[in-house]
Amino acid sequence: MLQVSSLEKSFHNHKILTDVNLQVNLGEVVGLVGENGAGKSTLLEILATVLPQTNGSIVLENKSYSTDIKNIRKLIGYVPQEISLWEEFTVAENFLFFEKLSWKRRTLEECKQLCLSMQLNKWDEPVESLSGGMKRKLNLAISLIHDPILILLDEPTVGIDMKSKEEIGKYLVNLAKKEGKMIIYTSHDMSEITSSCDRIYCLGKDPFYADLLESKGLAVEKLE
Amino acid sequence: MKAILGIQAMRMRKEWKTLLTWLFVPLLLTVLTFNTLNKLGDQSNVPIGLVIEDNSTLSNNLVQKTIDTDYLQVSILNLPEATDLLEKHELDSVFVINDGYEEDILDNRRSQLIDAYSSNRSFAYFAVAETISSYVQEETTRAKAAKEIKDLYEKYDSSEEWNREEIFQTSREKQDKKQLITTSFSFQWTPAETESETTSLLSIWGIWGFFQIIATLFMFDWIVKANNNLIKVRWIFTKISLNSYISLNLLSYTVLLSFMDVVTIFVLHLLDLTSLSAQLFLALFGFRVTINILAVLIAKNTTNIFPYYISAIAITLILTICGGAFIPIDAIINRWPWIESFSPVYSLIHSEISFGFLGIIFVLLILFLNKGGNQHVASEFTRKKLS
Repeated sequence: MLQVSSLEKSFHNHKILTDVNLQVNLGEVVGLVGENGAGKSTLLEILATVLPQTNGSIVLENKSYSTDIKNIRKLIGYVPQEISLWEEFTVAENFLFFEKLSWKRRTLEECKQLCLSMQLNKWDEPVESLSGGMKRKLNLAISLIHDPILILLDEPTVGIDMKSKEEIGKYLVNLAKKEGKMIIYTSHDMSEITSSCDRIYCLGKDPFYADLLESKGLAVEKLE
Repeated sequence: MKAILGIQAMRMRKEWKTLLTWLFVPLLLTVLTFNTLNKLGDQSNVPIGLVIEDNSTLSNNLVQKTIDTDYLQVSILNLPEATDLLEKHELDSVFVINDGYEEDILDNRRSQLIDAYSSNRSFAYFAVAETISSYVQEETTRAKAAKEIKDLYEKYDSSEEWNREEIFQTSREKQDKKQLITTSFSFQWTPAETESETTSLLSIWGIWGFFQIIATLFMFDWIVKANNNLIKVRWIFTKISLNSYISLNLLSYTVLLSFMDVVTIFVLHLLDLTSLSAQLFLALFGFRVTINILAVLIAKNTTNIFPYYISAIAITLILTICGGAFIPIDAIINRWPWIESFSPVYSLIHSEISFGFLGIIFVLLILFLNKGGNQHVASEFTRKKLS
């Protein structure tokens, strides 16, 4: 379980996040919505240990972020908004590179299977020649090599076609339900959020997203 | 380490052509540049004509010695050809070894041995004439000495038989062994004065240093790629940190490049462009470590490849020009000797290690590799926020 309590984040005395409280259970897919600048990516980066929080506590599987950061990182799979891959390498070479650096060893067959499970079948193609959707899938697959329990995705489907969006969405739901992972992801695509997420958190002061989702009969938990 | 070696093996399999290029290009370009510049130097030598009327051992010696003289480009011609070329100003001056040259020297007749021709554009005539005169002077002095020795033996009825050739030969050997003009003398119990070192305009290690710095910096671009803002975030979720990855790779690259440096020394030695010495090996290893650490420091602080390449070229030029690779800086070093220990290229040229420079960049390396470390490394990232 992930438990966030009274989380605050400031940059140069400018408060980005104030008193954020949230909880994510095993097997849940949680959506994070909000207007631009609301702090969605900042919250994800804090949860991914990429950024430190200013105040508050975060506990993942009974491990505190402030005392056990090295072990916590082994439990996290972070998919950044940008494509974080070796563009000149093939899909296979990217896997080989990050697998060798991973905490968990994977066989070549397991890596191939990971790719195939998200309809990524261009094993020997250089990344630079892949379509946007394929790159997004690979970006996600690389983050899953060490079999994390908490998967954080920052707009994982931005700029890709409907088919790839749906494939990624299905894969994530499957991952949470069958393998008991916790998934938090941000998106501006409301149909994607409503179809994949068990719960939705709305970040920021603008009521637009919360009102929109509530008008569709969905329960939204508001975060400041 | 096993994981790093595995990754490195994969990279090398993929980029073996580039790697081989950077490994061998400095050596090839050094030999090519050095030979080209030397050939250009030959073309800028003073062209003179030599007319040989006397076919004897002594005249042959003079011809050989003249040909071997630096800065002279000698053409053996007959007199009409030589004077024709002189009139066309294709020769600076013409020297004729007159018939009976050897005979006159052996008979101690010293006038009219060589005839010389010059034109109104013979800018180097006096210098060349002085040089050739000095060679003739050597032979006449030798002949005189031989005559004196023979006279002495005859005067004291010595049983030993000396002929002129033996005396000439012994004299030449003595001259070769003992360069009296450049020998320094010192009083007993005082330290011998060391001969002042002269640096030639072109140093093979200066040229190699230039190509090697640029090749090493370009070869270390993998750090910039690994340190790229997009890839950097991945290093948080790996069992090996980016700094450990860089440190271990620095070690493996240093081993590989040091091996290549040893190959370079042997190749240059085979081409007669350098001599082998333990000091040179040590200096080269010091230079290798210095340049590799420098490459890591520059690459670690650069996140984009293009500015890195530009910086690499600029830093190479600064280090080699300030290190006296192209223009000797001995006068500056004589005035401020401490500069020597801060110039890796100057130290390499003089088979030494720039401990000052190496010490500073080693401390910087330790500081940089410990900076940021394990915690929230992304606070250094450029934040490109879309939402």
